[in-house]
Amino acid sequence: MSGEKEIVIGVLALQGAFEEHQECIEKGTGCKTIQVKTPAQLEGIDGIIFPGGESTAMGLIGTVDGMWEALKTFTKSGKPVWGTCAGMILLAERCVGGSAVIENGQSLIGGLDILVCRNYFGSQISSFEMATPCPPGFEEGGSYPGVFIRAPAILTAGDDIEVLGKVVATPCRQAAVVLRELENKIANGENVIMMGVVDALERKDGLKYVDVKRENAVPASDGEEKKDTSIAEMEKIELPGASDGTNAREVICAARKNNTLITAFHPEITTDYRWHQYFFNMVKESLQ
Amino acid sequence: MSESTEFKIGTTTVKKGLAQMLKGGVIMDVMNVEQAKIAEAAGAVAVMALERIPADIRRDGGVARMSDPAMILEIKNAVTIPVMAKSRIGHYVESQILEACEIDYIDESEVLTMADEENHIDKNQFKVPFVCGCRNLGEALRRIAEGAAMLRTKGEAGTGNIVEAVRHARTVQKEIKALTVMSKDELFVAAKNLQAPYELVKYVADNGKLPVVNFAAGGVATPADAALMMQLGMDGVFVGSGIFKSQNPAARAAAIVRATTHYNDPKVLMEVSTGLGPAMVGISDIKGDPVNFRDREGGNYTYDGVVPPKRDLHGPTETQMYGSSWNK
Repeated sequence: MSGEKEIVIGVLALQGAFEEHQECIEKGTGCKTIQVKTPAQLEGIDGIIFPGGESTAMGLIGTVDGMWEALKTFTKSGKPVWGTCAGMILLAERCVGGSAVIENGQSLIGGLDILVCRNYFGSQISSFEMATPCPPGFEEGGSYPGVFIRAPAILTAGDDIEVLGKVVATPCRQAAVVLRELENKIANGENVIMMGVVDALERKDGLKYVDVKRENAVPASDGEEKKDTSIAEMEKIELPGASDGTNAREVICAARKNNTLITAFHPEITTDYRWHQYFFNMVKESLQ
Repeated sequence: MSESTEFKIGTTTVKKGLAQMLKGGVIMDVMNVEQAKIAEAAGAVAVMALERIPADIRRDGGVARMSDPAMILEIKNAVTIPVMAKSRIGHYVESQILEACEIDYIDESEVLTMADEENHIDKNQFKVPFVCGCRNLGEALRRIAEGAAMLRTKGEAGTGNIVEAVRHARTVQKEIKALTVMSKDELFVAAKNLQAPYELVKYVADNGKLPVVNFAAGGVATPADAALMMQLGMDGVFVGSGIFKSQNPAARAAAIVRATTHYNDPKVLMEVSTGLGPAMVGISDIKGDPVNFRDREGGNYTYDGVVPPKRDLHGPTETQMYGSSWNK
């Protein structure tokens, strides 16, 4: 590519907060953006952002007309790719907590050796804002305002993946059930690629809704030191089929491998453009 | 980097944020777990759990209330997409119950019978976000002032007729455009005329858009209806009776989802509109219909129509609870 050509960043526009990403890129870096809905629109872009939204919906909308294959080819091409929240799920090789309704659960584009858990933190009432680490090289301005909305979390990542941020948090009831099931499977030597949610109510007899006034606490530190979050508090959460209360864990909320960047939170709905500038730099460097 | 481990829930950013994540998507009314699963498999971004869809509320009459939490929780456990539920206008205890259900979004809905003809719910008091209907910019801004984190057109639910939704979408946009070309000193009287807070009027004038996401709702029955509303500038689509009152709900749901994504591509729209089977029958004479959901707003609501007769119940609704003792 010649240095003369104007850089264009595409934003996957099947569903979700794609206009927000465009606005952040344009305001934060001045770079041109386009919406990508068809394979033809992947031509001529220098990087792509997979926005936040509903990952199941994107997976279903995207898997027609060869769009999914085109996106797989694009992510393998080595051009910079950034997934936020739902977009991060799409980039994972392995996903648990997917829909139990849809055949094959969640359609993934893949590419990153990570295991994500959908809706790890819980439903909307557990969505939260928290200070998270800023992108490397953008320390000016301090920590970054992380907005987590029904967010996924990365449970495990391959050795070659650079972790850029962590959170210590208790999984929500449904995620706790999924994680326990996952651990059972791993203990049995299964290699879990994909796993749907387990219907917590079906597992118990009838409708027992326990502890609606659950602490919505997402006790967390930002990963520097792993705090053992209050076990006593968690024991109050009587999850239908929950594990023994040791399930507060350290999860990854931002990571990078080569030209692939992922964040579990939503930089697109803040006015702090540092992650967008960081990604723009990735795109610029990839063209040199 | 380790300065703060504090986190905040229920903030405005978080509340508005979920609606932003739903943009470009379709939210579907469902009455049971089976329908919720069909909706999720068709690509819905969220489902609205309710006992009777608007078309049935229109037909059957009676007091329409919040759904049974058992049914909401069942649906919440069956799908992984966000689940919304409706609360009556002004009935903040129903909303408290829905919040205790950990519902993802509450619709303070005119489709349910009004519980308070003067006041809406103070939605700022809740951690769960609210969506509300609007016919015009003034109504939109009044709801935002009360704490709504998402808006939708009111349309006229349960009619399968898009005309009111189009009217409301165009009205809101026309009024937004009018504000953007006003000089600063005109905005004060504009706020008075709109019966909305000046700060919000100023925001709209400065930014040329609403501070929250605005979806289309009330009368969407076909993929073309959905695409029309998207081309009119809506951020996404609610489909109520249109899907499960049609002959082939799964196919129609998937078609509306695709039409909403590719709303600007007539070729795709042609493809998805083909061979869907009959749409819901619907109501063409909305002005002559005794039921009027759209004019229900706290503070200026007067009912001068005819109370619709309660009809014989049949089918699965027979087993449900009705509060009305109206005679035929």
